[in-house]
Amino acid sequence: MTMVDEEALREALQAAADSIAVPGRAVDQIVMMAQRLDTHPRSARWSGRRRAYGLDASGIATQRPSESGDLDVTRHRRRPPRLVLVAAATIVILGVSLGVITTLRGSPRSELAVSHAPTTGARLTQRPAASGNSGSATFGSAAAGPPGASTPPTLPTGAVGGSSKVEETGSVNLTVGIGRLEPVLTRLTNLATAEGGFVANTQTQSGGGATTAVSAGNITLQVPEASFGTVVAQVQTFGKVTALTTRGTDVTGQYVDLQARIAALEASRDQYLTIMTKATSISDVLAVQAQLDNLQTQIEQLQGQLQVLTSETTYGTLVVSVSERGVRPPPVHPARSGLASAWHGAVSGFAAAFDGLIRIAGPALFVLLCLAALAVFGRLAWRGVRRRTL
Amino acid sequence: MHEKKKGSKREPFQPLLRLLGNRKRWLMTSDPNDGEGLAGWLEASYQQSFRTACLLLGNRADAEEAVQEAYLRAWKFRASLGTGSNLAPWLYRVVVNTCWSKLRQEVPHRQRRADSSELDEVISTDISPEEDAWRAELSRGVLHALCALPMHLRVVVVLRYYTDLSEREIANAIGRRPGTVKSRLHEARRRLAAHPELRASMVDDKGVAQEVFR
Repeated sequence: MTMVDEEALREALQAAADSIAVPGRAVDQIVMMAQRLDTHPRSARWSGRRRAYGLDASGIATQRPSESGDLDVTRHRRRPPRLVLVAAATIVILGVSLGVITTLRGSPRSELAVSHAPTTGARLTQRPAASGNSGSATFGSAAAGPPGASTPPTLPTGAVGGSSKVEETGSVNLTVGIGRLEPVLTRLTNLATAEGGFVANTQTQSGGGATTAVSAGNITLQVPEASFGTVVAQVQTFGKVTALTTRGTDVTGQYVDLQARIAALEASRDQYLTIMTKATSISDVLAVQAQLDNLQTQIEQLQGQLQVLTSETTYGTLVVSVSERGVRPPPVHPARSGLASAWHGAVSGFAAAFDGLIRIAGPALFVLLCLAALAVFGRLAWRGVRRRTL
Repeated sequence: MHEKKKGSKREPFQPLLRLLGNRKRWLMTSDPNDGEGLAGWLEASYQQSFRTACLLLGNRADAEEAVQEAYLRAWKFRASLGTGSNLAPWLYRVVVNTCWSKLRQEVPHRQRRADSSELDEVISTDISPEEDAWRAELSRGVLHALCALPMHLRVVVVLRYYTDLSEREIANAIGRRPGTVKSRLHEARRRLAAHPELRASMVDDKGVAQEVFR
């Protein structure tokens, strides 16, 4: 490997340095500025910048001190480091993102705003996940969504001429202590009655005294829409919530459409009735009567739909599944041969592995994003540090 | 108490002061507040400091500002300055840091290497062409080769072969380990050997030097 000889390099540098002329009065200027620094320590910036101290290219002072003795200094504004700018931008982006997420997911008003979407409901917080063919249910963790979203919002004045129609449905899975199933069902019934509703359906399953069996029951409550949120909130206090699902569907458009169609059909029916009074021949009467029968059928169908819709929007449906704590019964499988058992085991294992893979994909992606962000910031910080040191 | 904390936070030479330890001696020959003492000290050290800054920055005006700024820093912190035989590394550390700050803050990253016109202005025009033409040409070549190096290599070359600091003193001056200084010197000499204007001074693996600077 060829390198420059040290002595030759030393002599070359010395020769090059000797050819550099040293400014003559620079020392005097520095002494003068140093003494002014002592006299006015706050007035002059000690960075030694020539412009800041009013010196020309030869180092001669061209700017005299002001009457107060201070040097007229133009402060040099440093640009903020790039790392600070990146950190500030990141904080702003994170803040905005968190604000948006909080607004979209945390505010009951926003949930209602979504529930006004014409197609589907708004709040879907948690649902149980059925597992395979075992027949037992695997419940997710409780998501305690605020139930205060059940208050029906009012539409803008003149939009469709009235308040909105929201169909509220929901389901709550409760786990209660052993022997607490019947009291809880009784309390649920009393709650629905007290709020002006009723019990639409009840189904219970007793454990039968077996140690591995569990008692459970389902009860369907119909409660007034105005008190739906209150009922959901109180139901959650009756036991440990393992799953909670509430949904609000805006059916205002459908409701208004039915009303309009009924009104139109009724107007047509009135016209046909007028024609009927003026009919003179039997054939005319029969033709008008056929049309009237057809219109009447349509009107009654639509009125039935309107009535159902009114009922659904008047009462919210809440299905409460109550189960006692205990060992869940083992799944009962029919007797299989060895090959069939192996096949089912393989399919179950494949499904379980695929399910697990999907489950860990989300957290893994989040971790990877965090690591990538850390790597980017670490690299920026390292480059910033390296740039400040030799 | 708040002012004391703020003042200590702004002290940029705390590691250096710890390095110097108890070997305290006033920087000035007499009273540190005496302008004559400062002037004497500047007279003795300004020439080499200015030329060091010129070699580092490749620009006379920047070098003048850098040395001026470094000396004013020294003046500002003269009351807490400990010194001794290692005063030279401290001074060069201040000069190097000032030059590095100037490059980092005021010169865009893509323009940190001085161009040819600035390098030519560094060399004095007072040199008579008949007598010292070879020296001017040599100086121009050295400056071009030196400014082709990145700053971290340029610093160690100038401090080692111009200011004649030892590797340990250079390590103290730039805040790196002596091994780092040695490897940088090795890398700098290798790069300088590839520069066309310094190829004549290269040596081969057998250590045969060509005395081209004499």
